[in-house]
Amino acid sequence: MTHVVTESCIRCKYTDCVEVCPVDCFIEGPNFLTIDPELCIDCAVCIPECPVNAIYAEEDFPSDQKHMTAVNAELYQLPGWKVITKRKDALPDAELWKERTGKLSELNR
Amino acid sequence: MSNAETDTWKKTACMICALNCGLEIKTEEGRITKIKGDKSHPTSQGYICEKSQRMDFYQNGADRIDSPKRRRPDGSYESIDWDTAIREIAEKFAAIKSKHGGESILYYGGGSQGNHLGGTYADSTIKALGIQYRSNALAQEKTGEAWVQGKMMGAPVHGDFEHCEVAVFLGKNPWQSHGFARTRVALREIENDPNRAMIVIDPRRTETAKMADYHLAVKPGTDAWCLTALSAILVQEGLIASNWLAEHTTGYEAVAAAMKEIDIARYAATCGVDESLLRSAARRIASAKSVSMIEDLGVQMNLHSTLNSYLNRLVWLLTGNYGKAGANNAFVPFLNLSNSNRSTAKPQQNGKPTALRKWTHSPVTQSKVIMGLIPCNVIPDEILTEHPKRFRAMFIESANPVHSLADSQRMRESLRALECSVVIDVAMTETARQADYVLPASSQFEKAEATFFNLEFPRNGFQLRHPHFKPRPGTLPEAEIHARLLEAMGALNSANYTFLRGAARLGYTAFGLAFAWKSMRDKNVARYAPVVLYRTLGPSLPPDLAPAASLWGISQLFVRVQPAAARGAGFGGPPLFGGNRLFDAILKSPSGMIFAVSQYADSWNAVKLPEHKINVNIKEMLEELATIDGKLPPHRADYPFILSAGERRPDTSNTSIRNPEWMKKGDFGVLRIHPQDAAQLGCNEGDWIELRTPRGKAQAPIEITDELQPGHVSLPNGHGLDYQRADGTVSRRGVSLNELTNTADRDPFAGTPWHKYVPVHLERVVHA
Repeated sequence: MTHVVTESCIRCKYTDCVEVCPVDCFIEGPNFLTIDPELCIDCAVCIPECPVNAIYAEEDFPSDQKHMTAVNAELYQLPGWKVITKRKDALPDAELWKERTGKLSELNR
Repeated sequence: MSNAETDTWKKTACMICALNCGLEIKTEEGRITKIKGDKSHPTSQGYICEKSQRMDFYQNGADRIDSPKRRRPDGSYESIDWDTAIREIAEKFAAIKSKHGGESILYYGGGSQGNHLGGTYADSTIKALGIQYRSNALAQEKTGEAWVQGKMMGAPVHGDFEHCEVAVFLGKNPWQSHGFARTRVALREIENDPNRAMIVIDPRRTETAKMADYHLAVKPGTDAWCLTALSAILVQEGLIASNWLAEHTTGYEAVAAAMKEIDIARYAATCGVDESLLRSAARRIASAKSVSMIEDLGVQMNLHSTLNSYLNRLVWLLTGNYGKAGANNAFVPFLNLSNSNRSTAKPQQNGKPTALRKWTHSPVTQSKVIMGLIPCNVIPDEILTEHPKRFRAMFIESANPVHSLADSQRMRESLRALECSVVIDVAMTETARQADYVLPASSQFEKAEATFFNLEFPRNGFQLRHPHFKPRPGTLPEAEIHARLLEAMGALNSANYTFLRGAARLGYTAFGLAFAWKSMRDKNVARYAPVVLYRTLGPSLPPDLAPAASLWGISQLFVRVQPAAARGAGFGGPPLFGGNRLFDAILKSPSGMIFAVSQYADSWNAVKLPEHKINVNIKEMLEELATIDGKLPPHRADYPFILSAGERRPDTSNTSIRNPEWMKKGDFGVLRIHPQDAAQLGCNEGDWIELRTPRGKAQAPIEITDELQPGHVSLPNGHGLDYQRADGTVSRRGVSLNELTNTADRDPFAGTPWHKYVPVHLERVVHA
């Protein structure tokens, strides 16, 4: 049981979600946010915050995003990925990337 | 967004469950638009769950009321002005009191979840009307536990799930129903720590059971056999804390004698749990440095519920798990909600026989009054009778007994059989629709508000929530309603107020001295202190906080009754000053504050039995235990399934959230059923089933899941409200469970209902 950040976040990283997380389970990488599945309590409060609708409960995934559970679970433990609790500006070209799909190859670990 | 209102986060709290986690909200044009956890809240520390997002469905429910209402003979309601409503209610209740005595009036409720501040003023109305009998939902949940607590220790306890090595959840699924601070975080921590363990006793494989190291999946209604087996294993395998028991308890010999008799293999078979699993769980408990255990409605609303509360305590007491970190401890309440335990707590010193207490049993059925409450399940029997001592009137405050108590049909009949009934509520509830008068209260976000469900130890917190909206026109806070009633009854007038109002302007110290002086000379000031505080200190408080005035009195009481805990939190010194500082801190801490800091040793001082020793031998309970083999869960051929009525799920709130529109995804109100049962009934996922009991019937779509045992089905809590939309249409979503339940199905000691063991007949609905 956890919520998962899907590909829509890649190269956008709006961070509205981190402000409302009651358990501080968002982890920040260079151009993507991931959720620590050990900490997430499935409260769903982050879902409506995301301007690009990147966050889903595991059971509600769009069919083309199933792989993101494993991606989230891998990324949150990487060195350099840090807990983020305060909102900050989105990436400079977020506007350019927010409508795009199939962004997995753009993900920087 | 240009609206300045939108850009400020304001402090408040969730009102769905008893934790009342601190929230920060944004508001816009009368709506709550954004909600997040408040990291400054002293106990929830930013934690919330998804249910917290539903606050606006309460605040802006379409069936909120904005004028007092009077019932017409045809059952419709007309709006009347407040003066008329207060005058008529005062006259009618005074007439009933003078003809039949205050004991003929039943006070029910006193606050919905999160809405307890108004109830402090009801105390004045209760006294003015000479009311002797009260009841509320605690009397269908916690009274059995309270009775056992009174006999064993005289103090309520709460577990320390943040620090315990082993957590035991009995008839409780904390992932959904919460019950202790930051619940899901605490559960995750236990689950992920190899040195800690979780034991769940529950017939269903709940979210929490899936996280557990030991899931004792009892057959429905057999918890007593499982718990007895655990204690018997502890005794028979020599796993008890012998020295600790000798030092801190009395009565162990009787318990040991009873437990030595238990045939563990047979008890394991009766509850359907593998004997070796029971033995490993008992050994895990015995080997732990600390164990915290909590029971909830799964056993409290089930067969043998009072006995289960006793057996629960034996498990952790036999292993010495009280009065230390990680174990159960006696939390210090800000306001004691229970009037129980007096007979055991205060033995007569002079050898004279104790004067007979009055009002210890209900007038008609002679049911035991526990925590000052008569059992919810006997209320209809106390009304629908020709008995001369029957209840003639009910005063119902922020509660919905027609929906939430067993047998809604009889509760409706009961209300209509009364000579007069009054309901105070924010919305036109199922209960309001049976009342003679309905008085509209301001919402929890429109007035100063608080909860007294403060259960944490060693640091206990309290939050006075400030209002964030103007009261909806036509509504009043409960404090004002009670004050007007007292004045209309002639119990109070300006002669009681003037001097104190003047003193209040000079500050809390002057007010405290004046209040002490005045209440010695004016018995009505002492008797109706809450309303007097509201009328005198209230106007000197910051704007909108007048209804917090009763907290001054509670603060003063608290520092006198709990000086050690108050001192620990910084409110020591001479009581008047300590109480004033506490009250001031409450007013100035919108996120809440710590009012009590205890030491673990204080848990022993809280034990109100001789030498502060816990009594482990409740004679009535051991006698009951000796007979349970003759009281196996009944199985009826005509009602072959067992319904667990009132499961907590993601799609349940509480009935203050009347608009079901918050449920945006998934299935609402499904009947959960095992695949084998579904197949036997010829049902597929989503098919509709009709449930039938001797009292009623209902229909629901099914969800097939092997989380339930064959023969066991479940429906969610709090559904089936008759919600009137803005356009006047009434919609009912989900099953109103108490159309199915029977008041006679209740615990023989405490009268608590068997809602988790409702025999039902099931049949597939064939749609035309």
